Amino acid sequence: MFKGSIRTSALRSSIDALLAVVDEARFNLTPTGVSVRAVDAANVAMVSLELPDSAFDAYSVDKEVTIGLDLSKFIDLLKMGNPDSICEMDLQDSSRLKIKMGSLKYSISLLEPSTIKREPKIPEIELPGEVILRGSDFRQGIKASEPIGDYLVVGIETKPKEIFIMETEGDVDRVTLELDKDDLFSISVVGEDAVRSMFSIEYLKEISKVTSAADEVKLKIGKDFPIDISFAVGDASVRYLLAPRIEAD
Amino acid sequence: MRCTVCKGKGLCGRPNCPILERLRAFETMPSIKDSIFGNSPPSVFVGRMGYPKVGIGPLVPAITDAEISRFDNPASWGELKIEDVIGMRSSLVRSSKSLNVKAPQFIGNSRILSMTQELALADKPVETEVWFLKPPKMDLKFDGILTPMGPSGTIDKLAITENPSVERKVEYITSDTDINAKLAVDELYRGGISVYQIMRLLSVGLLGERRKLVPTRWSITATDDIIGKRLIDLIKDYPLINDIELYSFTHFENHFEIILFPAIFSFELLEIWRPLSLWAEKGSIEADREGYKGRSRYSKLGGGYYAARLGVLEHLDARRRQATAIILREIHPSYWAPLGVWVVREAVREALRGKPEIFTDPLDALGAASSRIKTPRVLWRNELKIFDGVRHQRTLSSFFFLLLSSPTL
Repeated sequence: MFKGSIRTSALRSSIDALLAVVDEARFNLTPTGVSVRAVDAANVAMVSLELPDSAFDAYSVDKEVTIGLDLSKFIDLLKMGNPDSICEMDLQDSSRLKIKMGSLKYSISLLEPSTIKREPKIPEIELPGEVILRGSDFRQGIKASEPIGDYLVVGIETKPKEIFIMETEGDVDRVTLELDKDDLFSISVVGEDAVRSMFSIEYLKEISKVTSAADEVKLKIGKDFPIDISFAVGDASVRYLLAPRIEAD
Repeated sequence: MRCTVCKGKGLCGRPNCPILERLRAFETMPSIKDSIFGNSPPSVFVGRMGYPKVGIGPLVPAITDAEISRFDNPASWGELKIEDVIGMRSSLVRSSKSLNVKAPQFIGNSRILSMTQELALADKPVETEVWFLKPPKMDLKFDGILTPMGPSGTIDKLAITENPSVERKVEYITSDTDINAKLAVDELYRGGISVYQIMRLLSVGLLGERRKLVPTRWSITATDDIIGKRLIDLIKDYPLINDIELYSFTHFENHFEIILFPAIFSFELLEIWRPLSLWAEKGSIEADREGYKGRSRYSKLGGGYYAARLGVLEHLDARRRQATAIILREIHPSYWAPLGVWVVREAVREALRGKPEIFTDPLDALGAASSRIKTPRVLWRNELKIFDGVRHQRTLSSFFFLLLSSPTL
């Protein structure tokens, strides 16, 4: 059904990207690559992963198939292999996957896909603000906020000039990360108004651990609207959508 | 105000003087010679002082009571007053023998241990006779987690004068040494054995593979937590409740407001100790919580957190529904003696047996709840983080049509 080999470290970072949102997911194996879309139990965060066949050293699918994976179990097992090793996968039927990393051989049972929460449809959205920044900067903004409060505002100020901000206000303290044009790969806003939305740090924390490895992270920001976070690791592309917190009394 | 100056006139502002109440409880205690004979409810106690060498033994009443079995069954104390509970419990004499916690692993080593275990297995009162090294001293032990206990003495000799009746399920699980303690607790609970008996079995080292004595106070929270974790796993697969529900109940001067929201499981407990209540001269407000992914650290609220959570989980499991639960607990100064965490467990269970008020707006539910809380809302409102999450966190499906089947708030 499916055979593929890929660097263990590349597979690990893809699984880590999914784990930021869900513990189990459906993997669609198609002739052109692997795609995963999943939304968390609270319907607050969504992740989509595209792993094209070019990300693999060898890849073949003779018949499209969807498999279910327990991601926590899978990552534990991938950690057993040398990150620089090549992970060879072989799927003969949709209930069992064979994995070989160096001299380690696993045969793991898969989840019945129908027992996993349904895949979301990826919505088409256009957002007024867009920023491209270093993954490590995004991570820093979130790390700095963690001890201060539970919620983080992400936005772009427009006056007097365009500045990207990440800000957390706790009961008593406040922290702000500001990056202007010179600190960013790019920044743009449609219209003259500032854009800002507030998010739960609990979610952003998990997501930023994954994006910290990326050179560039693209954020699309609206006013009190879900944030769209996308980045590439090697040939894989990952995208998150995270619903905001709205404090309207 | 110093107690030495006041001498029970009530100058501190408490409705009852804890010192005088304690003396009053002493008066009702029967005097004890160097042996007693009575029906143990059944009840056992494992201390924690000196761990890993701990005191273990049965609790035997110094009085005869036709309904002695309820002396160790807090689920049946709904109608009692604080004084009644203390009166009842103070008549239970704690006998103990110091043993290493690993003693259950060495069979045939201690007759006192095996008899205490036999007693813990029983589902009906057991005729027990204890001879003490010296007559037990008058005493009354209180503790935040434990149920109060009366005088205590060191065991010289112990005898059980009848064959205790043991439920089949209990006999079966306790004789299985290949099942780990968590699974054993789980099996017993599913078999309809009360949490109080499971706690007893766990504490005397009758569950699990490598068996150990577990101090009673630890076995209480361990049992609440083990059962709770399993119920959470089940509840995560249930559909959400439909409305916001508010339950309210006062038990032993502890007032509870419980709000259930139609959202995936999470739990928050707010404890408000009013000024002059136990432990808190100036009052104290603390909250703790867990999200959908659960918690790994022991709660700063202690055993009460797990007891309260269990009450909610049992309710949701019985309805086969999922919800986020917020509990407000206000402890009044009239709660003058700590009775143990069973107060919390039973209060939450009882509250949820009532008929809820129904709301559509979380703020209205909180408003109704706080109208029955004496402490001003401004003092505790900021502690409610899960509540804020429920109110303010939007879902992706409120912006997009995701084609998902699960309902959302």
